[in-house]
This record gives sequence, structure tokens and C-alpha cells, in this order.
Amino acid sequence: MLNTSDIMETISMIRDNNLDIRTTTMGISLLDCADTDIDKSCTKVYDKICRLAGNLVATGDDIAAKYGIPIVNKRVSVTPISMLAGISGGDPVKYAKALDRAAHEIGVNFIGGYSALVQKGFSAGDLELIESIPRALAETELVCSSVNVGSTRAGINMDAVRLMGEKIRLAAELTKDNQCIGAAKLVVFCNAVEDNPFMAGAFHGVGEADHVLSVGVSGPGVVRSVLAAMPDDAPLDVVAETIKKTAFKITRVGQLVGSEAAARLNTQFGIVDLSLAPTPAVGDSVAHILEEIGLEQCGAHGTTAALAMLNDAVKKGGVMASSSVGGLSGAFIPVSEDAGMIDAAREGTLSIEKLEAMTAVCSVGLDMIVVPGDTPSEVISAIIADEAAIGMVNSKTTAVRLIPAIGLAEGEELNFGGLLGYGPVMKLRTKSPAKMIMRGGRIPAPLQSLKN
Amino acid sequence: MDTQEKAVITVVGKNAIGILAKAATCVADANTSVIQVSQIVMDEFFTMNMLVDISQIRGSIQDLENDIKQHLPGIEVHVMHENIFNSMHTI
Repeated sequence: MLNTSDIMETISMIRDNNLDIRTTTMGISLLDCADTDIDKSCTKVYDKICRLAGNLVATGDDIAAKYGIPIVNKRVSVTPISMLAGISGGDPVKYAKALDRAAHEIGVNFIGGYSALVQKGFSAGDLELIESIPRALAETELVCSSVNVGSTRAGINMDAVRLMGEKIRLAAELTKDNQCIGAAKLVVFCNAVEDNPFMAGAFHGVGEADHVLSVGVSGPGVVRSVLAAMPDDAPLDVVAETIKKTAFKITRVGQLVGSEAAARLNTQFGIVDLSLAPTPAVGDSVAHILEEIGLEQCGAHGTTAALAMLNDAVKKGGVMASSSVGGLSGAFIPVSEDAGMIDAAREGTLSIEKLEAMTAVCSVGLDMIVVPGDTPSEVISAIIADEAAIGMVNSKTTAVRLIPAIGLAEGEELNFGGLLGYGPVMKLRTKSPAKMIMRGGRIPAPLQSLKN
Repeated sequence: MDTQEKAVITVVGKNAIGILAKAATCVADANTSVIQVSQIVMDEFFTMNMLVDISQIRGSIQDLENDIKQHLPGIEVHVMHENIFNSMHTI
């Protein structure tokens, strides 16, 4: 029979420490929905999503009841819509509305893929889609958008970077009566991954199967509580080992739930993405893990090193636990979604510069950061460029999800509610990068040798 | 080949007369059968793990948990599918 302490450990992980399946995301290819008539194309998109993912929510709830583990979100990611828009022409917002209708019909809480991949240049549909993003996000509720502007092999498309600075600002302006929520549903990537199940950056890559089911597992609370039980003088290699073991257990749960859900939905199992994704709930914070490792507050000197160790240990445990680990896998640091980060930002311990350094060693990037409402679009573009450069040079995924708080100044707060959380407006540098951003063009791909 | 589907019931709380009996009655009522039980009483605290065969269960695991909870007020009860423990704790 099972060991009593193993049983109690599992129960306490789920009941006391917020271990959950953060998301089951069905990736659906829409390539066979393309049509030269945009209305026909939208109908096919709606029908295909409803047909394949119609039971996604019910299946998720069923499995959650069977195993007693919460499955917090059910989501759908689709082929980047710019590809369909390129074939059909017309107003891409029609696609956004079709996606939104489908998402409401099947009951998922987000649908991702209003996206374009433009790291090297724009093809048909890309510019139209990027142009339409702010409107699409303002006129729909559940649609998420992402744009990949750079990669290690292609360099950074600085024309796209300039455009995205403008679009992020406009997305916030168009939704200023609703906490600028438009910008919270828009991510700008460098080295975007094709199988990420987490929103807002999920899309279904063209290299993927027709439909797959991927799972995002979380559990910062579990890691924190395991570390809290360790002696204060345990060396860091022992701490890393403990994180690794915990990550293993968490990933196993994801693998179990994912493969069962995929079988029930008659689809292929995609990947488990083990990402320590915080929520604003107390006890579900990545910042608190870093503090448990030994920092007075997240953002203190030493944060980058602690995060690097955490991120690596999480990946190692995850890889051992599942043969199909993918997505972003690591530690997320979305400021407004993490109680510890929010506190650190409020107190000024956590600055945008420190966050930028942290993104060089963790999963993804500058995430859910509220910036002053009067930030010019070229400053936002410059932040995107900095972040994309970190991703490009280090061959890792980086992303930017900034929310310009229209009408608010430094020190005030936005509150998105739910998992997106709340956060104070963070201070940015005010000297202008406009000349550089206006140059446009491309930053060439970096050298892959002579790495020093 | 083992075709049984199993669940683990854990009951933790202050010791009182009939905890095991009440839990076992609920198990029988749900058409599930007990495979193994281990229980420890330390001072006044009672901890029990029960492995049950749920291949013929009437209703869901959740229903069984709710039923036991109803019969054992004030006591912590969890019923979870065995797979979750196996996948987490074995390599």
C-alpha cells in the first residue's frame, strides 16, 4: 500500500499549498479553415473550434473531480490568425469576433492566437493584423494576442518593435474605462515557442499536429512550503535538489491529467509545461520562494542568482518527470499576478531594471508590469527592444506585456481582477530613445560563436 | 493484469467512537470495497488511510467524499484516485 507520508504530502500540496493544474489548453490548427472569403473563413474557424473543443471544459471538470485536483483554466490556442487574414484579406477583427464567440460558446476563459510572426519581415496579413490588434482586444473579451518580433536566428524586426509600442499604448487607450485590460491581453515575444499553453502568449504553431492537448502545471506555493520546512543553513545545492524533486512531483500530476484529458478528448497529448506561475492569492507567489531562499524581499541584490537557480532546478525536475516537457517551463515573474512582487514593487525594492535582469535567467520576460499612462510609445518600443535583445542573444524566449495605465501616474494602481491581479504603476526612465526607434530596420542575428 | 481501479480515503481528526465504522458504511453504500486499512491513534488524534476498489463505484469519487464528510462532521476527509499518488511518488 502507499506510504502514509506520501499520501499526506500529496494532500497537503493540493489542499494547503495551491497545487493546481493551471491550464489545459487545446491547440487547434486553423489552416484548413482558410478561405478567400473572410466570412466563410470565420464560419469554418468557429465551427472547427466548437467541434474539437466542445467538451474541453466538461472533461476538465470531470478529471478535476476524479483526482481531486483543481484545473483552474481551460483554454484554446489557434494557428496565428495573420495567416488566415493573409489569404482572405478583409478586416481581421472579424476573426477576433469569431474566436470570441467560439470561446464563449464552449466556455473556455481565454483563446489565444490572434497573432503574427514577423521576426524577419511582414508577409500578407501580418501588418493588417498588427494594425487591428488594439481594436480586436477592445471589441472582444476572451481573445489574446501575441506578436513575435525577433529570434536568435533572424534578429529583431525593429519596424515591428516600433509598431508594437504604438499598439500596446493604443490597446490600453481603447480600454481605459476597463482598467486598460486590452494591453494585458497582448504579448510581444522574441523566440516565441509554438506549444506554449499559457496565456496571453499561446498560439498553435504551424509545426504542430492538427489538434493537441497541452497542460500547464503550477505550484509556487508547494515549492515555497517545501523550502520553508528546510533548515536555514541548508546549502544552496541542497535547496536546488529539493526544488528539483518537488518540480518532479508537480510535473507528474500534469502528465497524468494531460494524458487522460487528451485520451478522453480523442486528441494527441502535446506537452506538459511546468511553469511556476503565481496568482495573486496569498501562498502562490514566486517572489515568496525567492524570499524563502534567503532574500529579505524580492528585488534585493541576489534575486537574479536565486531566480536562476530556481528556474534551472524546476526545468531539471520537470524533464525527468515527463517525456514531453515543452512550452515555456520555468519560473514566471508577472508582477501584478504575484502577491510578493506586488509588495516589492509597492515598496520600491523591485524596479524595472531589476526585473529586466531577472528575465535574462528566468522563463519569459517583463510580464504584467503597469507603467505610467503618459509613457510615449517609443519608450514602450525601446523596452521591447531591450527585452528582445536579451532573448535573442541568450537563445531564450523573452516577452513583454506592459500595461500603460492611461490617466494614472506613478504610485497609483490598476486592478484587473481575477488571475491577472493588480499592481502599482512602476517608474520608467524618461530620457527618449525616439531616434533609435524611428530608425526602424532590423537588428541582425547575433553571432553564435566567440561567446564571451 | 490488475484491472482494479482504486482510490485512497484519508480521514484525519479527533478520535471518536465509530469513525472507521461510519466511513466503512459509506464505502459499502457506494458499492466500493475495502482493500486495505491502516489507522493510527496518537493521543486523541485519529489518522486513517483506506485503499478501496472503486471499479464498481455508484456515483463519483466526489460523491463518496461528500457522503463520508456528512457522516463525520468536523473531521477532515479526502478521497482521491490512486493514480495521483502513484504518478507523484514513483519514478
